[in-house]
Amino acid sequence: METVNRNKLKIKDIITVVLLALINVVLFFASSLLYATPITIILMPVFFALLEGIVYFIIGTKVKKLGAILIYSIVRAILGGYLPYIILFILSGAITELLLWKIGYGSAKALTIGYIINQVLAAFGSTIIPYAIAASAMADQAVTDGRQDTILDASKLLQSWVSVALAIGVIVAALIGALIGKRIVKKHLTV
Amino acid sequence: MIDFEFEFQYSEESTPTLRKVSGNIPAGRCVVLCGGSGCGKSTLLRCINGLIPQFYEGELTGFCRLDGQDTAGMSIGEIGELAASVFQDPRSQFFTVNSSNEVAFGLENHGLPQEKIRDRVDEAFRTFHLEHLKNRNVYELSSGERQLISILSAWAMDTDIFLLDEPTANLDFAATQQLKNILLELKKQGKTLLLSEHRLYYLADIADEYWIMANGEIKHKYTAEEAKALLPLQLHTLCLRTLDLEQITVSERPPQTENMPQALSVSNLRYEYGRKNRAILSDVNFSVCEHEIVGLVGANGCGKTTLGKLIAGLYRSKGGEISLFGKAQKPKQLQKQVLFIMQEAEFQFFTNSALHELQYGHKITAEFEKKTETLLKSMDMWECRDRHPFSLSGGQMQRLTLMMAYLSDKPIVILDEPTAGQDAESLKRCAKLIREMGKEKTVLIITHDLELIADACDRCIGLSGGHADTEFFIRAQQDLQAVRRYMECFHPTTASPPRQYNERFHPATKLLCWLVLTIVISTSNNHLVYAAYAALMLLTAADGRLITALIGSASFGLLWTANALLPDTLFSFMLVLFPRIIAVGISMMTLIGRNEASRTLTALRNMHLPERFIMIVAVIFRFFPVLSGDMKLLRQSIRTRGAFVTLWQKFRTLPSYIEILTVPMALRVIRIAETLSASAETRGIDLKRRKSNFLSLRFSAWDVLFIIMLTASVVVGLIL
Repeated sequence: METVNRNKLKIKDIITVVLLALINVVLFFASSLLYATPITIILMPVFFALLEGIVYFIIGTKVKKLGAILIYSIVRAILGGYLPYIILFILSGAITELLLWKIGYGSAKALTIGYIINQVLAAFGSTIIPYAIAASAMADQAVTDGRQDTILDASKLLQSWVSVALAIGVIVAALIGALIGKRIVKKHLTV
Repeated sequence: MIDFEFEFQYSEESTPTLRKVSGNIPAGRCVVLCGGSGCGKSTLLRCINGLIPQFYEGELTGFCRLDGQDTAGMSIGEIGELAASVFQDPRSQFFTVNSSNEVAFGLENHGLPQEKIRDRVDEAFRTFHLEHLKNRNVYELSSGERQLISILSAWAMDTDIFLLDEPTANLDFAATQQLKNILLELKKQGKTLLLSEHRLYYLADIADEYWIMANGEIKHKYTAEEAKALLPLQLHTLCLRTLDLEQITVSERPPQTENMPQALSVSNLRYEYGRKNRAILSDVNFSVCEHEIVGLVGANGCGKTTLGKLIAGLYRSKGGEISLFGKAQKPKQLQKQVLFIMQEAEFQFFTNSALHELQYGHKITAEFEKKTETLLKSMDMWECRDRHPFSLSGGQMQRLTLMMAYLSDKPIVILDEPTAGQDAESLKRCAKLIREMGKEKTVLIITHDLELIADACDRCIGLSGGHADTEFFIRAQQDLQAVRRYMECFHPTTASPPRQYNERFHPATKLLCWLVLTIVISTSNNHLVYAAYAALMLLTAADGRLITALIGSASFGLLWTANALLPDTLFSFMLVLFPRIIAVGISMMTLIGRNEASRTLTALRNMHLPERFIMIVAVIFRFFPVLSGDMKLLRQSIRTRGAFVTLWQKFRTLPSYIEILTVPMALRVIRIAETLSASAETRGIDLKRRKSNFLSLRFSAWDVLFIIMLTASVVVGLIL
């Protein structure tokens, strides 16, 4: 009998990644009250960018294997239940996998860049696109009802500088989230 | 027959965990591995069932023959066809959400024909007289019942060998008795049993031999007769717990506390669970004096933990009063004065070392440092003071939480099952610390452990039928035996048979509905969304979820009305967004709720999707509700430890708050993942065979009707 050591994703790795991803899903659902108002919806991506880095970094450090971040992204995306969000989240996972393959599995640099891309794309999928759709749907309704000015203004506003400001806010928050994630991994997984 | 010889060292360890252990267990015999925590019992079982070295990596030498077959070169799943494994934590070894599906899980992985799987599952429940546990949601089962299901799952694999790793670690008195009956039945069937255990009293009529392990070696092998003849002192030296409950003696204790003032008084306390208002505690009355140590005993599910959490201010009662030191208290006030130590130790660790955990929330003075050092040494934990709490064994984690309680400034402490899974030596240490704790605090212990009651409690209160109905002062041997007789009267709760649902729709129809909704809600066409929403509500109602459908429809109606009355306000926005969010939630519920998770998985397998994908979906279905519940436990733990009390505190120390909210969960799920995947691998999840299905699914007229209606809704939505 001998020592067994494989670098392929094992059943244990897959289950670990899925369960860790579920923590971020649970946090997402627990914070769904933020969907209650138009203002808090805009703040959601910033809030999640701060929060989700811990689990992301734990996965990237604990399961240093091809496919771990992609599985995380698929689980996290599908439970979001919204098509643009699902597509963009999975896309971000694929990009991070490429980065990790190129730079090295477990690399903090690759995970930080991947996490920022992940959060920016998620912000588009979860907030900017649905907000734009909502605004457009409201505008359609308003046109039917013969009133349109205020809503169309709001829609234009979001599609212009607010989106840019939100994207910058998410990048900053994701960077802080990644730093928190990195610190936590160092503190709890490398002692 | 089991024949083995091993030497093993884990990759991350510097010394071997097993040093030349060998043994031979003839067919039909039962051997119990015992010894202190960390002596190598579980490692030996892992070497036999193949988890070492394929799952737990390290350097293994030696051989293992099961029923004459050499296991070298076999996969874990193939070894599982010769020896079935049962693990110690019934909370995390299940892969499905339904008891019958769980029993069928291994057989599906082995690709048995559906008829054969059904017969075997029926036979398993029938043979052990556990038909009442058939087709039950695993969340509705007690720990004991879940452990019985895990044994049935092992039995269904039709092996001659059973390997059980501390099967009673999380069981109460009655469930242990039930487990004993099952083991007796297995022995009658001629099965070979190898168990690792700390709790030994229930094995008196089952075990043929006791193998005592220490430092990775089998030091002694006793026959059952020889073991029975061991004196209490010899048992203690060998780190063994009692083999006969009649032998337990009450330890010497300080003078009684009858004239002490009251610390805690509970009067007419009432609590109900859930929407159906099921009264768990109907009229509880009792009091506890200052510095008294009181045991709270009762059957599983009788409300002991609920009562403890009510006293700790973690739940809000539905009536009655809780007073501390003569003054009625509100939940927030109770939280400040009562510490609740949970059975689930992992939720209570916020830092990265055992020492930091003890220091958390305290002012670190030289005197405090000295106190923690003495404490750690007395609990045999000094050597692991710098280890991460999550790297400790289950028993060490529990001892750490006990030390946290000892150092707490709160005058009242409630301990929930503090000695589950402790060896004899550790049990003595825990009891001693609790007695020390009693000098400064009032202690309430929720327990099933008679040995702990003998060593630590002044009095026991029996909880039954929602009342505190009995009281025992623990002064002499006969008092202890009276508690034992009371505990023996507990019968495992036989819940009313689960409601049978008439599933009208094929899960594939619901998957189609979910898919259509996912696409539709991404468009800006309101009419299309509303039409699909209406179709979903009709499906939900026809599926027997009338209340959900009514709530969904009423929410939409209210938003519509509000928008009509107050156009161009927040309601316009909510009318566009909310139906989309509600639709996603309800469609997910139709796929997962009740017994649908198992049916949906069967449908996915029928679609010939990759097994890895189905496994991921299965884990999501099984654990999403578990993690939501765990999040609640974590918040309770934060509250009872007095951390982050106000919103401002949470905001001011946001990174720390995020860390404490996330890290214990993450580290816990890493442990769950280990147990779950080990359990699944021994039952053949990784076997390269075509898997079969336990459930059969058929399309009905309802499916056709709904698909026509869904298509019509989409067309109407597009036209409008």
